[in-house]
Amino acid sequence: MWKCRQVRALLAAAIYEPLGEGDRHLLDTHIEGCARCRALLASMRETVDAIPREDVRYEGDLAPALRARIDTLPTRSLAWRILPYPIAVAALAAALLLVVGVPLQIPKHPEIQQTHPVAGVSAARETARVENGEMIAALALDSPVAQAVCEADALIEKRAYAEAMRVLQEATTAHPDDPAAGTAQERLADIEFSHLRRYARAFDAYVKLRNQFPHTFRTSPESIDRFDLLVEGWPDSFNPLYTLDVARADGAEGFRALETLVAHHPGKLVASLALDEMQRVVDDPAAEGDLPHFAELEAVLARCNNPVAIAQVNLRLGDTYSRELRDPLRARGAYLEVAQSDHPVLAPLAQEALARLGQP
Amino acid sequence: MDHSARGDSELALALRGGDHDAFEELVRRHQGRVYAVAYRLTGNREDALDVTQDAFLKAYRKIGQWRPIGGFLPWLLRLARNQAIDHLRRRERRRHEPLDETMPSQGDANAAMIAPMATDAAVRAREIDERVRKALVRLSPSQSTVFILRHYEGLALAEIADELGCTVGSVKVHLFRAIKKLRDELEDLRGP
Repeated sequence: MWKCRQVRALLAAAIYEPLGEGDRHLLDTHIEGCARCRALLASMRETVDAIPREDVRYEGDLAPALRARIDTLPTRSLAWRILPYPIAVAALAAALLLVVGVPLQIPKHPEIQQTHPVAGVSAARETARVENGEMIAALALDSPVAQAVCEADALIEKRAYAEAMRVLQEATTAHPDDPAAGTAQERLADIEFSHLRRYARAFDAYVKLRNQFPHTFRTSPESIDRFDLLVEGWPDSFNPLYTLDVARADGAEGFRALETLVAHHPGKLVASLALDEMQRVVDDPAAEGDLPHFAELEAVLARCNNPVAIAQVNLRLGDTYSRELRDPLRARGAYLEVAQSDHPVLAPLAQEALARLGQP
Repeated sequence: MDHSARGDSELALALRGGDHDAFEELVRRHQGRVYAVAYRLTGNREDALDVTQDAFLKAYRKIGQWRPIGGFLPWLLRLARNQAIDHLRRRERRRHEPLDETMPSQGDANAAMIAPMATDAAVRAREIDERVRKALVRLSPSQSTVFILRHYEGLALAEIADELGCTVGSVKVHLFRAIKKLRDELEDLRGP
């Protein structure tokens, strides 16, 4: 007779679909002699029957709305390469007009709006505007810096970072007022941060992006996150970030280093990133699927020794119980552990969380 | 070019190369599926629509990270599930914000309007929906996706395997684990 484990997959299938003759026979034979699997099948069937099947369909078409949203995205590598086709058509028309001698210029000021008989060209121009002294352009196909950004993206794909930086720097030096200069600066900062991991230089690059290209900076959540992280790491010469890189590279072996990082930087962004990494380390890819967040955190908690690290895991666990599982009882337990720790940074955070939860 | 005859992976690769029509074809092909998953996790149509759009936008922006080996739809559904969970977190955070204390949240307001008219059966149905939704969030991505596609969308197991690019055997295992976990979570909802 088959073992229980071998027929489990058939149990679920049998609830929804008629089984093939062979499978049906195997399941029936097993169930006849196994009260446990018989009960399991019955309880699973009851569960499925208790879950209503409301028919929910989406009959609309999201493509136009998405196209409109994509048109407003900040310029990024893909946005340069993947242009919505009406804009691409408009750009082609603009290029043709340039060839036949009709001068086209992106207006320096928003109030100078010229219309053009070619459909789409004026719309393309309208995306250019000045904000805090920064020229914003969602589309500037003929811009030399935009072309340099495309070239640099191709070089980044090939990991030719030094060459990509040279292309970007030369283009922005030659055309400092180019509408795509902010995007070029964002790329330079990105190369320093995520590819070369030269954090001091990345810090300078993001400071420049923030000060000289405020729109590009504001519309790039990734840049804002990195800037905050670098500001936090600056007093320690970015050493916590380097430690994090090393621990990440060590994979499962880096767990202890991550724990130390979490313990030494309570409540900081770098501790949060280290905790993310610890969750990844315990989430065994060979397991049945991704662990839910709370299970990952419980596994991290089980492996931690340092009391400050444990307190931070408990804080996140409390948030997860509360927000994802809507389980205030377990959330309270996790927060209480931290609140009672008297840690000057973490205990007040736990007390705030307990206050949010309200009375038991 | 007629995109309707092209496979998902081919379209995704075309999108990577800058073909916006390919993106629109992928949207039209999968918007219903993504919306269904988003709806089961968020519990209302408005949020589901937001999540669906955000998931497609994320796919558009992150297409460089997609690898053909895994299939496009599973990757997209994973993005949608993550978006839905982020959406739920934000919704929960908004409920905790101090400003909300002075006025009922939208959910509370809706409940207040509905409450006098709701029958016991309707209240019970809402309670069950809410419980199931929370339980689905706790499943692993593969388990929740397989369960949603089979239970709510009515896809055959072989069709799910085809869409997710895996074997029917692994679909059965995910489904078994999903139902077993749901059974444990919803134990009190079963009959006497």
